[in-house]
Amino acid sequence: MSHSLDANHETLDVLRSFLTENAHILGNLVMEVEQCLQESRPNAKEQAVRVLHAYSLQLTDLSLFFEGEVLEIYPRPVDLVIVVRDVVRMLAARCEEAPCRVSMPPSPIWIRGDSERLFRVFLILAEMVCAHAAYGEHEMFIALERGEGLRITLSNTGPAISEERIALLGSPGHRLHQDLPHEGWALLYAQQVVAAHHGTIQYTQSPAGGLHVQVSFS
Amino acid sequence: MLFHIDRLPAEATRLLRLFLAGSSHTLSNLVMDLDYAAQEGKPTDMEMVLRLLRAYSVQLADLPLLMDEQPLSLYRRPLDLAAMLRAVEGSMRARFERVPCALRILSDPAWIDGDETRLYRVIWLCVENANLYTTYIRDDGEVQLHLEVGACVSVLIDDNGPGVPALYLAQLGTPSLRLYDEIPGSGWSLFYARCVLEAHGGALAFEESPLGGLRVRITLPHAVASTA
Repeated sequence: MSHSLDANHETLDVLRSFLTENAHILGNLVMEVEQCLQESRPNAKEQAVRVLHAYSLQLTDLSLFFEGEVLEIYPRPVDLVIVVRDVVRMLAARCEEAPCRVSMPPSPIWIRGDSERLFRVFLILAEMVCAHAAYGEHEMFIALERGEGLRITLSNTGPAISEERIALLGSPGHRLHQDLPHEGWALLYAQQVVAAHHGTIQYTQSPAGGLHVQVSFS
Repeated sequence: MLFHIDRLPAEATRLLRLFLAGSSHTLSNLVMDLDYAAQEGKPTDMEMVLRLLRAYSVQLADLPLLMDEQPLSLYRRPLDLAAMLRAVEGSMRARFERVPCALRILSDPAWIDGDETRLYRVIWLCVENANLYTTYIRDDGEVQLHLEVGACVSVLIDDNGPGVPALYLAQLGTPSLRLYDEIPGSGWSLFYARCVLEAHGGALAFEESPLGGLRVRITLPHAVASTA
């Protein structure tokens, strides 16, 4: 078996990292859908189709990004409490390995945005924090708070991560640990979506020693 | 290795764009099929969805290995290719309402030793290609699937789409080859199909179809048990 791909090493490395990351995302997606169905959760099929749709949207958006286009969203009222709750529900299967505590106000928190893209972004971030926590048998925490703006925090209690590595998050090809899958392409997308909602994402060390991700909307 | 997104080689950007467009097309078609089934009041076949997603995930994981010319680790078991062809045709039924698909199985069952997930993906990719190209080019598109058994097991996929100029037929199945930029695709599907079939001791070939478009010929050896 041989082929003649006319591309340099860096090009091949870029493709490898992209393919590996997306194979992993799809593998997770299959696991999530299977879990939904096995547990006979209400609306399991709708949830599964939603995750699939959001991932498809991510790929379309990234493809437009590489065409040089700026991501445009068509804002409408979105209740962030529902979005984050749906993400936590999708992660339920994996939270057996990294228990997840959730703190959210009961009332709706409305922003103007794109619910499917925000759902995908919080799923990407939560999956990363969860995988990192599960790697070291730690816990994770998700909180939604309203102050001057809106803040969604996703953090874990470890394993420890250096500032140098944190600074690299969001770079395509990056992975938190050698044993964990790449997450850079997905974080690049998360960054674009949050920016299109006039928000920011910050990655820091958590006070408990792990990773702390904060998404803020003004 | 980290990449600076603003300084990617132009070729990497081009290939990524193709991959993204192709992947997004694959998934959005799947969502469209599910929406269609829901609108028609048909039950959502989640087993089929999972089968497709699993197979696609395996394809994405395989491609970096194939780019490095590493062998695939196949999980072979006896498979009935006739049943697989029916499953592929069934999974695309929504799309075949626009482009009629005739399925002709001349040997039932047709046993081979193969990796079910990968071969399902390969046949699905070839049939989807036929459907896609035919749909894009004409309103009276037609796809025909034939399965026949002789010295080996053969699947023929014919369409009446635009076809491929003779000059390019031999190049089909090389990585990153795109003939029609306006039609979504990554340019890697047929490369993947060729590698998977060759790993099974089979082959992928292309010729002019009697329908006027492209004929894809998949050949695989018989199952060892059926020839013993």
